Amino acid sequence: MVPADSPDPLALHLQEVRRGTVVLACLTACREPQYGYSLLDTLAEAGVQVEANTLYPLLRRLDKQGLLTAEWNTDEPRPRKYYTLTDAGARIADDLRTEWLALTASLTALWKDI
Amino acid sequence: MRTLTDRYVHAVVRRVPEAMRPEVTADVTAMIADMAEARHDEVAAATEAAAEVEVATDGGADAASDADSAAAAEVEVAVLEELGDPAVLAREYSDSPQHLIGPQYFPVYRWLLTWVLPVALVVALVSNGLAYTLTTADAHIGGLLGTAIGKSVPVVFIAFAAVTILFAIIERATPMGTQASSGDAADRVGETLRAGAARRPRWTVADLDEVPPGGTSVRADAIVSLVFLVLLALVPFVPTTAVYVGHLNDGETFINPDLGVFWFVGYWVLLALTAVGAVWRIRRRRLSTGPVALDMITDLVMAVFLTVAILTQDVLHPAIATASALPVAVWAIPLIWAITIWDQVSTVRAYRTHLAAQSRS
Repeated sequence: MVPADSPDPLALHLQEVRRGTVVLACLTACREPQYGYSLLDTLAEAGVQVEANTLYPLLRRLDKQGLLTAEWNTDEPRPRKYYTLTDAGARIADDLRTEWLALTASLTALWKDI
Repeated sequence: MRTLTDRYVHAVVRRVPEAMRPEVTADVTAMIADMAEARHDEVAAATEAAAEVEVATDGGADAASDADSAAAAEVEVAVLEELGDPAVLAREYSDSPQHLIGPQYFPVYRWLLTWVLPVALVVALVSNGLAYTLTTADAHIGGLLGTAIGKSVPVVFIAFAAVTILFAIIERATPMGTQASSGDAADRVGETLRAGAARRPRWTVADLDEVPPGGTSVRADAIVSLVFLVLLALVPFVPTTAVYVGHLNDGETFINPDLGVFWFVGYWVLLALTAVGAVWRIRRRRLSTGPVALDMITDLVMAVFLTVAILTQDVLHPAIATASALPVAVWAIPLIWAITIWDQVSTVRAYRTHLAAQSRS
């Protein structure tokens, strides 16, 4: 079913494709400790489009799944929650990256064939 | 007055489960503060450039502070509007399902409704019709239909609501997948996620049931039939107190206890024959012409048997028969034949669907 707020099929499919890549992008960027907004900046600079209202809840879910660890840093004027990639998260990121590269190769080959 | 940010955080937090609230409050507050700071820096950089041009004209400190707070308010509004509807943000945070009944249970839910709703309707029609004829002094067919239908429709809605609520609870009681709450468990859960697909038993064609398509529903339908046959077998024992008309015959049964043994035994034998058919379907999980024909013939014989019983015997308890203004034959015989014809049609349809499914497999 196409949601009422995105009747355009292109918008819908783009959203689907991006949704899958945001997790890998987050895990990759969190090899260095990042707080929500710094991650948003890092991703934006890298060209990964993600909204704050999607990213913050996603970070929390990845933390619950044990792929990131979260720690409040109270040394700064305002407390910030820093996320870092765990070992389990690193392994998943590796697997996802391998899959991503394989998909890219497959799509490139498919595109040439037709 | 609470700030817009306070109100926004509250609007998000009140929509997430209680256990998550402190964490989500801290998270959303930090997110808004970070976004506001970043936006404020952008605005400050822009105004600084503009101020350098205007600094020569007038430079009152009050004017500058007013401009700052106005800018801060603008930034706050812009950030909150960028974050959007708090309900949507709360949904992103919430772990609970955002649907009433998911795809996992929907087929069973729909199947159960197709059984429960017609049955609830028939039971409600019969019991309300019975209560009307037995308690109304000048009962007439219009009143009977009006009362029976009027009181039975809410019963169908209640049955629908009850089944829906039951499935909504089952949906929420089912584990939502692996979740970790402590840092120590994090690695283990990561491993679980990683190995999840590998540890799941691989499906092979050996897992395929030998039952032809439709077998599951044949079996499930037969089980439900069996339950109803047991309930029907108990009808001669149902006391009048069951529908609040116990005063009419001191709480004895609806059915005349002095009805000849032949009629009771005949009734139970016919039910037992139908039950044998149902047990056969439960065991074999398929329909075939012989048992289906036997089932339909037994149903017809039962309808004829009941019609003859009603026309020639005092089937109802004499005290109830005298209390009833509408003779039992007037409503019971059409009801029996309506149910029988509906049953015959649905049996034939189910059999044809089953045959079509079998020929595809």
